[in-house]
Amino acid sequence: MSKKENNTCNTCMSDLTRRDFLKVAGAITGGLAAASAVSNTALASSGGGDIPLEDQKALFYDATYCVGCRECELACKEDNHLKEENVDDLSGNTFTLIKLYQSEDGGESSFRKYQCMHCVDPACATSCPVGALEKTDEGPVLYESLKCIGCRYCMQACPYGVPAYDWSQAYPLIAKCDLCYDRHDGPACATACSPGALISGTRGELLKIAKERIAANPGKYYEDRVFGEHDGGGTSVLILSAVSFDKIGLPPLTEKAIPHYGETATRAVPYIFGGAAGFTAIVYRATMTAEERQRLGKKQGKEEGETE
Amino acid sequence: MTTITIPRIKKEIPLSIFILGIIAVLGVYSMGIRWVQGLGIATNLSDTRPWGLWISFDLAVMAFSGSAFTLAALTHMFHRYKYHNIARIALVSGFVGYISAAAALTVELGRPERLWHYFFYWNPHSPLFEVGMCVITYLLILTLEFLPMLFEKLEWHSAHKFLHYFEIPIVAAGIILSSGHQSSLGAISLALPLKLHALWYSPMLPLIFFISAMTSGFAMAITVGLLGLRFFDDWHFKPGVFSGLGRLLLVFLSATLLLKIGDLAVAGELGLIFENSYQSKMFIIENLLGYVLPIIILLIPKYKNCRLWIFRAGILSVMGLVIHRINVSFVGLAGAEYYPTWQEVLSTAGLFSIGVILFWVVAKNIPLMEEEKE
Repeated sequence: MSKKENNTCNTCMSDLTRRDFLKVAGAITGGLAAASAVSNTALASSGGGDIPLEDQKALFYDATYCVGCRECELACKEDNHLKEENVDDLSGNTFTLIKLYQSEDGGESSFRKYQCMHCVDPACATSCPVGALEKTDEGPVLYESLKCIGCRYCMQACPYGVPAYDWSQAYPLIAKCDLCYDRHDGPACATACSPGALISGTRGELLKIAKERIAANPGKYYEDRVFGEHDGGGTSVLILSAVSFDKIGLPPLTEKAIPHYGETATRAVPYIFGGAAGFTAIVYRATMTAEERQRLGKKQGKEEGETE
Repeated sequence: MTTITIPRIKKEIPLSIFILGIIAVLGVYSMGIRWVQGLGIATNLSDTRPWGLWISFDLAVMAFSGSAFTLAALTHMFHRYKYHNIARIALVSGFVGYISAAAALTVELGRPERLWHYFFYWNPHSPLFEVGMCVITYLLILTLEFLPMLFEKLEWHSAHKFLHYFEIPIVAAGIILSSGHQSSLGAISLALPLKLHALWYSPMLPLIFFISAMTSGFAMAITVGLLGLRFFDDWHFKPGVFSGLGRLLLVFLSATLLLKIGDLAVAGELGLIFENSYQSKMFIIENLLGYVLPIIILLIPKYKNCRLWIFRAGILSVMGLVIHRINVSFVGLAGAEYYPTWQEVLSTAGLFSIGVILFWVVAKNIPLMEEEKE
């Protein structure tokens, strides 16, 4: 095949100049600068707020104290003006739920209060593309319904299955517990709890109470540890239980917070952009020499043996 | 084909396009059910299964649209000008692909009318934010890449010339944005370490998504190019284009398969393939049908230069990609049992049909083939 045919697109490629290369370089530098700016903000802004973790609002649930009276559920419904409904899981109208676990032989049983765990490093807030979920400095993870586009990435990312939709609506929004952010005397559920299974306070003092209970009753609690102290990077809802955590539906998280699983990828963003840019530029320059073109011309000639 | 024909909105519509039209109408009807009656009625999605077939469609279509940047890179960055005509086709199919993916968002999102929030509320931590931003910017780039074809047709020479001046930086920007967003599509699943089955979950997901998108880019260019030769009289490609694409497909299929299996081997999870569960069966189907089989076809000397077999290998690779994206978006994800409703299936088929019809309209009315001086 003749060399002429290499340049099928006569208008485009007849005059590959140094200027073209500069244009590529320009586009690349611009893209790279933008990419690293975005990713730097991303990494700089991750981490806690102004209030130290131990002073943030928190909730402590001791399953061994819980009698399953469900007063907390009622108080929550009342305070948040939610519809009455009979459901098995958290929903758009149920922000907290008491469930009973019972082993098959009936020998072992425990209640568990389901609600938003208000993670220290929440997966929902990291995943939301429009920042509708936010970890506040005070501790609670808040949802700003006006921003939400309804992509449901938060529902997918949350290891506790907390964010819920009202699926009966055509244009639904997420709903979840906000740890009664606006109330001054602590979450409504905690105020309603009479057996002392649910206590509100700062994370530091609640952790102290929990550890004192473990120390006072060695062997009573599962693994002698507080769920949420470190699990999944820590939560603002701390749980003590006599039965194993997975039996009462707590996920097998390591100490690594969910957002950190994608951290390498986030950090790699400018390198991906830069790599693609650099590769493109190098390839563009390297493959346009006269020698290369000639080689290409020969190669193309070889391929004519294609059959129909 | 040297003269530009007057737009031919002909009476004659091929039967295949007519059938796709009917599917499109039924699809829009199903989408209407979602818009009016809601997600709860139109889908089998729930709080524990928030993503379904629509997400698979988005992921797959965006991967196929990778053909636009892959072929653009090959033609304009690697200076393989013989692929120029197929790159123009890939560009149009990519453009149409992104449009139908964006159309899918109008049913998939709970609040589609708020899509513009992407511009105002930023969360740079989120991989989905990165995907959205790259896709929006890339759509703009694709428009800039597509407009010259329209200007050619309309004979707006000065506008054509103006855009042409920026062709190389536009193409380069498109390649960079695509690389970013194809890999961040994979990064979305990184936040699901407890939910996504170990057969698919891997810290390498962004790279796997990126490479498999390029693979499906070649596969898509092959299938669209060869199918188009049957439908459009004016399409013509240089000899060796398809065997060249076939060779590239072979290289990328092998790279993707090697990466997937190698990743499992490094993690010591190869045994999972044979655990005989729903997931492991789907994994085997995905890789045997979509990777191993086309690799074998493309390795056979008798077949690797035969257009029919290259086409078959292309179709198989396309299927492999679709199954991979389905596996990542619901088969391999823990949650409530899920199978799509007829509304979900029909609207997905409808969106696909709309894409094909759109492509047909463009291809019928805008000369996609660069004039050749023989």
